[in-house]
Amino acid sequence: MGKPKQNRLLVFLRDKNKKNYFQIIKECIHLAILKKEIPFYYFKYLYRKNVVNYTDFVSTKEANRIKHKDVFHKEEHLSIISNKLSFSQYLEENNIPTPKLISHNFGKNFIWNGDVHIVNSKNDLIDFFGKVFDQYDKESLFLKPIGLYGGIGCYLINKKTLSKDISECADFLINNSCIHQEVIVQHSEINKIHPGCINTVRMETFIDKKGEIHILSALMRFGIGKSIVDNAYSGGFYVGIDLEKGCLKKIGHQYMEFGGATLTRHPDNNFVFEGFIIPYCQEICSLVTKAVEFLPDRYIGWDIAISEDGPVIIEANEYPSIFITDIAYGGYLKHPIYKDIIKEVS
Amino acid sequence: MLKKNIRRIHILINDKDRKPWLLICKEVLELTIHKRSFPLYYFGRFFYKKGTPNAKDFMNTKECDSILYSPKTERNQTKSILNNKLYFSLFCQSNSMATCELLAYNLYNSFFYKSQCRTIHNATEFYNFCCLLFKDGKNKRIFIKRSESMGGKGIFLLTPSSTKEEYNKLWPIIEKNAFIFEKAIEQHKSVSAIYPNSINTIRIETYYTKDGSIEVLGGLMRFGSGESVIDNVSSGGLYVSINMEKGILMKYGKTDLHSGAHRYISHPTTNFVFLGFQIPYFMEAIDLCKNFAKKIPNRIIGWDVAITPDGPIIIEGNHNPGLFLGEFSYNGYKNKRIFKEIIQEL
Repeated sequence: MGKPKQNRLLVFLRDKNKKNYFQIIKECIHLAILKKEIPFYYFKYLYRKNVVNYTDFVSTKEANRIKHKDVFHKEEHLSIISNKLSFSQYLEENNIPTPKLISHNFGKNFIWNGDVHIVNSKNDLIDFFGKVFDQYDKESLFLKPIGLYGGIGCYLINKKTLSKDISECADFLINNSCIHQEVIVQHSEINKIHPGCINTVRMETFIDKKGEIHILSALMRFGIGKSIVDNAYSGGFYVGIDLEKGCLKKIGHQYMEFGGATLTRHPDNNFVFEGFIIPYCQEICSLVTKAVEFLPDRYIGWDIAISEDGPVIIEANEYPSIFITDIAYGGYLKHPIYKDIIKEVS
Repeated sequence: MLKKNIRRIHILINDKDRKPWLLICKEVLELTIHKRSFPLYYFGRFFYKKGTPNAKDFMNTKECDSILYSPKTERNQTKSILNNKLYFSLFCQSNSMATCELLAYNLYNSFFYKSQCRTIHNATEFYNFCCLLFKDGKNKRIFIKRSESMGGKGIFLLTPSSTKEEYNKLWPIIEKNAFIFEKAIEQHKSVSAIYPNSINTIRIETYYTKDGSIEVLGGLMRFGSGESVIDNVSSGGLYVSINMEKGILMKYGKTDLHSGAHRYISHPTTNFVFLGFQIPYFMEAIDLCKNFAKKIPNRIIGWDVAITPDGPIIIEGNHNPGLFLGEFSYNGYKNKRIFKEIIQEL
């Protein structure tokens, strides 16, 4: 369950870090003329005092054009990317590290080891997962809906507390379609920041017209409190990554709907972000580049976990939120490749 | 479209097998009143010919679509498995489900073989790639099928003796799309005796009931003709209804209206008489479809099954099969008990 949402207008009005109203109005008018749209996106972040280069950020219209540009996405790629089951099977088939798929279900039909088990009740579910845990030598499974995003509908079930865990998710599971994957053992260095969930790296890739693969930007997302997911839409926050140095940048950002806080440390344990060396950063870049070769959609947001043994691809997003990577980069429009992207979609 | 319709009308007027015009008009009028719409299906499904069953017992297009496209029938997660041939193949592989062997596939210029990705730029490189497929697996025939297409469109057959000219013609289509490369299966010799140039598949329709059991709706067998390597009716093949209880072919092989609205008692190429032909492994094919339907629990699926010397194998599943072709195997949906339940539920 995520943090409760807040009213974005109230968050803005209460923000002590905002520019003075005269400056805000002046910048909004400037953006309205420059971008030819009402710059609602300005109020997500750009109104803050520390944002000097407000014109370097992608507007809502530009972001939508990029996300939905038909030459950036092919149907045959999207049908693999948008379905977590097909995505998982595709990566496994091509030996690209991804969490092992243990079983899955389409509604009441639970498929495991090539057999179908019909599950009609909570007790049937407990029986089913009991058998899975008996054969499978791990203590937990991560359940994810096949077609949803933003961490919605994800559950962690544990062998030791199976009955209690199933009580919480039985209705959802039986009425939806989910994949059931092994739980990644997160790298101990990442656990120092937040051990409660898998804190993933989001990396955006782009294939230019010549076919060259570029990593546009990267950030790391962290959960807070007891959340088992790190997604910003579930109340977590994100910190930009300096890809040259392979470390976290200074500031963490939270979505306006959840308070819009800027953080220099993790709120649960005061771990300072700046300079934290991300384990396997080079390997993450190589893995993502390889993944793009196997799924050559031109614009993808990749989610990668970092295990003790190296990076693991969790999922791909065909319409990633450009807003967060834009902020993590510090204004995409100063990115040399992004200028070409904007040109191509204009 | 106009040209196609003119051709259809021409075929209808010149059909020596049709009922007298007065009778046709009477039946059309009765059907219009009964179904509350002009019964195009009366012509498309040959009810205007002598010796056909009562058209009132059969679905019109609207009734068929209301079943197939009902929100209660459509399941996006399972539909996406069936829609994409690559995904279907990977899903079956992952769940130990017997289907054609996937040798390789491409996503536009990216070609994937044995977990390696290579970029292919031209017809010569494509030719070399296919030679590798033939040499490595000692494959004699390879079917190349477009990942997202229906009706037999986008299917090509390659053999070691395919010429460079054939590759040159094929390359512009291959590089602009996504294809799977499958090892051609060996067909049961008694099925090849009817028509040897294509894999002649059985279409079996399954229905996933409310309580999770699988019912078989109807079935038919399709055959290519002339020199065609595919059996699809929409690509010029013919279909023969099946007696589903005994697994034997019924009397007539039919082509669609556009292909001449022919009714044959024997195959036009081989003169093999259809009536009474015992389909090998038919009951096994039914069981296989039911097994697949449990693992991909879409409410309605049209399975395409090939018969090999060792038994049946599923070629693909269709999430929106033309239910009206299978209707002849049970003499109209009004004579099939399960349809009462389907219509009630939907």
